[in-house]
Amino acid sequence: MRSLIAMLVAAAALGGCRGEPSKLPPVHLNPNMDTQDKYKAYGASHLFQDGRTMREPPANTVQFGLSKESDEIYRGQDEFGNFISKFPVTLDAKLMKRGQERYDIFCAPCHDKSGGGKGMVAQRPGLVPPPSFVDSTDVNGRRIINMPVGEIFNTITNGKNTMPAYRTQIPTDDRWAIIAYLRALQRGQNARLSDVPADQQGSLK
Amino acid sequence: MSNENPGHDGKKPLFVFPEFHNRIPLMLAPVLALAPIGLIGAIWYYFSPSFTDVGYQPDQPVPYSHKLHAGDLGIDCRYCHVGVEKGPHAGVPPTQTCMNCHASVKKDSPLLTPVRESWTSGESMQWVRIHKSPDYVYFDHSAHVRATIGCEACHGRIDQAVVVKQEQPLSMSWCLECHKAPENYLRPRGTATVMGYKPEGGDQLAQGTKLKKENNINPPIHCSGCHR
Ligand code: HEC
Ligand code: HEC
Ligand code: HEC
Ligand code: HEC
Ligand code: HEC
Ligand code: HEC
Repeated sequence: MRSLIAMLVAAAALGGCRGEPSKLPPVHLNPNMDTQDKYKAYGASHLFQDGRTMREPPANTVQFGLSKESDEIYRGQDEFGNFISKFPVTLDAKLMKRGQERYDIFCAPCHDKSGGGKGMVAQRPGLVPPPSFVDSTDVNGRRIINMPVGEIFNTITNGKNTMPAYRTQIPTDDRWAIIAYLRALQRGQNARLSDVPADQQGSLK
Repeated sequence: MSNENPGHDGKKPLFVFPEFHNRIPLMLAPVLALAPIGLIGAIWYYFSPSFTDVGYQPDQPVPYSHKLHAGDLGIDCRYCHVGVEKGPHAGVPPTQTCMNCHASVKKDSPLLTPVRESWTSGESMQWVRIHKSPDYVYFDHSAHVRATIGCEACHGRIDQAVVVKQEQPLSMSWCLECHKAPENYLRPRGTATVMGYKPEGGDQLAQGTKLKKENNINPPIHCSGCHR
């Protein structure tokens, strides 16, 4: 009996316990059809030269649903190539909320949640300090407050100086939502008494 | 067969089985009776993904730390895993995403050499895949993020992980445990990527039951839901 227990203990020790960290790839004792011979997203491929399963769209083709016929929406420019100052999309509360969420994901790491340019990444060494979007006492802040929305769109899409391009990470609609929210941040932090509805101004005086 | 067995001719036998051998079958009986139970126990314990898969923590080509990026720097999961709300795959970020910052932050760090090489050569980074459900299972991140199950429920506290490892078995019983009672995990919309989330009022079950009804959450428990 004692040797039986010893054998069980030895087997358990050899096998290890559930959930122990291991660097070795999982062995499936019954492989079933767990891993089938087919190409899947993000996988490696021996067929294509670049070794990737996922293909880039061929040159000079337009993905379905992404025809960029509107210069205003897709480039932030009017027909003469000037940056537009009016939003080419309808502004509503839904767009604003979306913009806030996307801004917090994609811009706040560097530009911080209020647009002051003191994000967590900017607080570490390395990055050129991003300008404040909202500080009207600063020359860059004033410039960005007065910047046409089309130019901000262009900055997000293609980057500027050391500011990275977000073309691939953020779809077009979301870029406009972010700009709408950015405008709200600027208005919110540079509000004048005249921005408050007349019947409520009294309570702020 | 010739009958040449020594002992049959009256000489002293060369070998006689000791008498206790008569009791061997009796002694073996309980062991043999217990063996199937032990075997079933061993299969239950060792064949389960809880044993084979949980804890898989491979070395990655770059010592990328979620604790630093998602925890300390507070970068949202969706900054890098952009596919998670849109389709089945969360996806692992392309080199471009790392270079957004690392073109200027720590741009000479030796730890980041493979990233810079991938950037100049255009070859993909060879990240080692950790989580994998079998190919006959249909899993879709976007459905779960839309219903608002936290990443934490399935991947653990990634924001505290210096190296990612598989926390949950991803087995069928594990999927079903939640699909039968999603109220234990449901959160309000927009909080899927929050780590260390505490339900309002501290009562997950009350909040989850309410959300389940409001948002009409009804995860599939029929076979073709996941095996399609
Ligand atoms: C990786 C950090 C980082 C992130 C993330 C980031 N930015 Fe920037 N941004 C910068 C830096 C650095 C600059 C300053 C660029 C310079 O002048 O070299 C900058 C500058 C800008 C400018 C001013 C450009 C000008 O004309 O001077 C705008 C507008 C801007 N960013 C918008 C955004 C928006 C919108 C987002 C979110 C989609 C965003 N940024 C995300 C780092 C970042
Ligand atoms: C700065 C980019 C970045 C951010 C932000 C980020 N991740 Fe990751 N994630 C990666 C990279 C790169 C990998 C692949 C390397 C690895 O496994 O460590 C990865 C791997 C993973 C994996 C394992 C993938 C596999 O192979 O199975 C999970 C799960 C994961 N991340 C979840 C999260 C969650 C949850 C968050 C938010 C708290 C998050 N990530 C934030 C870049 C990021
Ligand atoms: C939003 C900005 C940002 C992104 C995107 C980002 N990182 Fe980082 N990373 C940082 C910062 C900031 C540090 C810390 C620098 C410090 O400690 O001063 C860092 C540090 C690191 C380090 C440690 C370097 C060292 O020498 O200590 C590694 C490795 C690293 N990152 C890998 C990655 C990888 C791989 C990716 C792409 C999946 C990535 N990072 C994406 C901002 C970023
Ligand atoms: C309901 C459980 C569940 C939730 C919630 C969940 N995941 Fe996953 N995750 C999985 C499973 C299962 C896999 C393996 C998928 C496969 O093999 O196709 C996986 C794989 C991954 C991977 C590896 C790459 C890929 O797409 O296969 C990453 C990265 C990841 N998850 C990130 C996240 C992030 C970020 C969140 C939160 C927004 C999240 N996951 C929420 C179950 C979940
Ligand atoms: C922590 C809870 C949880 C876990 C774990 C979980 N799910 Fe789900 N699942 C949900 C919820 C909630 C929904 C959404 C139901 C709805 O929207 O009505 C869902 C929906 C689904 C759907 C339907 C998606 C669609 O497009 O209709 C599939 C398929 C699915 N899950 C597969 C899986 C698989 C496979 C696993 C295990 C690897 C798993 N789930 C693990 C909670 C979970
Ligand atoms: C919530 C999603 C889900 C549903 C619903 C579901 N399954 Fe599964 N099933 C899975 C997952 C995930 C696995 C892979 C488990 C693993 O990796 O061990 C699996 C594995 C299996 C396997 C292979 C088991 C093995 O390891 O040999 C069979 C057979 C199976 N399922 C049958 C069924 C049947 C029959 C039903 C309906 C009664 C069903 N499944 C419903 C998710 C599901």
